[in-house]
Amino acid sequence: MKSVGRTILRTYSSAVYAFLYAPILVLVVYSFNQSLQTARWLGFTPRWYAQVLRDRELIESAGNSLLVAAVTTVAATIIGTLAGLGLSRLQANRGSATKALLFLPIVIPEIVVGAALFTFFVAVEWELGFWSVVVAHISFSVSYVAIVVRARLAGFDRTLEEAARDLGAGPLGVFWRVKFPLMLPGIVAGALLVFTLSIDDYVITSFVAGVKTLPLHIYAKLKVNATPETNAISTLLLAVTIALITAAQWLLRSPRGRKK
Amino acid sequence: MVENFSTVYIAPCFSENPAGFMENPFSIRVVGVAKRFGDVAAVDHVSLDIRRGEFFSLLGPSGCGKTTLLRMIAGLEEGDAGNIIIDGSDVTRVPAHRRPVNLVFQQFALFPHLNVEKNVAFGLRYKSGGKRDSHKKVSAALDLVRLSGLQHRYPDELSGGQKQRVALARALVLEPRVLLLDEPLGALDQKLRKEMQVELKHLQRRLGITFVFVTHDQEEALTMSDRIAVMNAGKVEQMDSAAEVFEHPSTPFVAEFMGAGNFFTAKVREVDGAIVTVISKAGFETALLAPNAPNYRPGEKVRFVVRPEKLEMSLTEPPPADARARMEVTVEERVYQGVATVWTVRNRAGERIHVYQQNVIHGAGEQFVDMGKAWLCWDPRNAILMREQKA
Ligand SMILES: Nc1ncnc2c1ncn2[C@@H]1O[C@H](COP(=O)(O)OP(=O)(O)OP(=O)(O)O)[C@@H](O)[C@H]1O
Ligand SMILES: [Mg+2]
Repeated sequence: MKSVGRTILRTYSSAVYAFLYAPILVLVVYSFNQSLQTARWLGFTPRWYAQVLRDRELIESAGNSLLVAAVTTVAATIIGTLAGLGLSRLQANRGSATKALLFLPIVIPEIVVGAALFTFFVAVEWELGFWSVVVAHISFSVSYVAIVVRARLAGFDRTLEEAARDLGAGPLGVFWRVKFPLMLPGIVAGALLVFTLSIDDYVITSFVAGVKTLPLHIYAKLKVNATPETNAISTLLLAVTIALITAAQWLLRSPRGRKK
Repeated sequence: MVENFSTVYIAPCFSENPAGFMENPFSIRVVGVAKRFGDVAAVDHVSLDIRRGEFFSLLGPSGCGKTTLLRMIAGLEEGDAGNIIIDGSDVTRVPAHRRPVNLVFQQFALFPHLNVEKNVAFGLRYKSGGKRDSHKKVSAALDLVRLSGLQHRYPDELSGGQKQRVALARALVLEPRVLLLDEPLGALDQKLRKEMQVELKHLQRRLGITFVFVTHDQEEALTMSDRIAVMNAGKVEQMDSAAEVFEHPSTPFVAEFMGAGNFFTAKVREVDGAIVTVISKAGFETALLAPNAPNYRPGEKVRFVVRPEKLEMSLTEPPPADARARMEVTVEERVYQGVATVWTVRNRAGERIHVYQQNVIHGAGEQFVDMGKAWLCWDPRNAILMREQKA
């Protein structure tokens, strides 16, 4: 009886994971396919990766994307962290409008945000270019950081702050030596989220871009014809993301792990 | 190494008059301090004088304002009125991090992201000269609380008792002039609690630091304190030596809280010098020694209290030659506790009385039968006279 249940559970979870990861696995495998046609496997080759590295336009758009993501991550993390800090100080029943306004961008359809930003830039005669993309990305990312940081601070024990004050720490000492280290995991998680959101955003970027980002480039290429080259780019992107997450995990490993 | 702690303190940076500070016998003076939370007067115009080097306890039931008062001394809570003076300087407006006192929190409040060593070293960098030999100071403090060898553990790897010691070391390493402790033993089990009581007391004696200790446990307060302030609903009811609070409670509340419990209603018959003669509701007459005797008027309704262990129970009335006060009672219940037996009896006025008798002779209690008659007698000097309400 018990083993039947176990088998069902195991099969079910395997199916869920397969559903989640099979397409990605296929993508990675086909990025090494000799065939030009995606559908058939003709043998292993690294040549699409070589081709990616030779594609000037692609390298350039990847560079743009990385730069946009980097600037966005730094700015949105700082702004979002401060917002999260501020919100955590509000009493539970206060400032609900402020909270709602901050969290709204997450549920507003991207297409609306994109169109709105486009209209805004035109209205204020802001030239569409690198900075318009950055500003757009910051505007939709701040909320994510604020939410994550606020959640982290919700579990924060105020007596720790008082203990620090009692031991002689002024406001700056309390912040940097107690509050900041304890909210750091939240900040890093928020930053990671922003980086990923920024690097793969297509919809909003397409409205406000004056430079070509990686998603715009890939999409343009796909429209002409789908080649294993796009699979290779995607695989590289995947590798970068996994590396980032691993790095973050390593940075945030628990004190117990750090001990030895 | 340990001697570090008992020797010289840092120059008192808050005293306007560093030389004169030694003459000031008070470590802390709380003058008319008040704090309200909405409708609740958490601390209601409290004044205290805490002497240098004494073990002072704030004792009272839950919610009486002990924590609030302690936090105000630490500077973590701003008062509505009154002044707080530490070593002769008014610190009412001085923020917590600049006050020469340290607080040990009830829930320890150890920094979870720092190991024991770093927790203890936390405050050293804010103290002048604190960073010098900080490693040595930390080890000395850990030695003092008998925690050497756990430097590299994190708070979540410690037992309750160990956390308690880290919290203590973290405050002591700063050599505060006053250590404030908010029910520091509340989270420990009974056995550990008893051990820590003794240890804390020794520590305080050895270091000579003023301890202000909050507890709601009267036994704990009696065991540890030089002096006790008993609080009730934001007010101090009595402030005296431990023995005085126990033997001579000045208000019905204190008497009750210290476990006296035996109240007798009476009426003043006459006042003669320090002697007040009263007629009890149960019908007998007794003369009481009251230091404030002239305050009483004949005919006034009063109460007197006799502690359960001051009463002696016998089967027959003591001879008239015996100068002790006496009354006849009915035995209602016995609770055998091993060391002692606690009797519940009732007098003619229907007042319930507890009697605590050491079990000196085996089987001595057998002579009393339930619902049978017995006599209680006591030395009149052990009866404490008080008004119905606090004057
Ligand atoms: N931050 C606060 N906001 C509102 N009311 C408070 C606050 N802190 C304390 N009080 C109230 O003030 C009164 C005194 O509280 P306090 O914590 O000083 O009591 P205590 O004597 O320490 O009690 P305990 O033994 O339970 O710790 C209580 O009625 C409490 O409800
Ligand atoms: Mg309390």
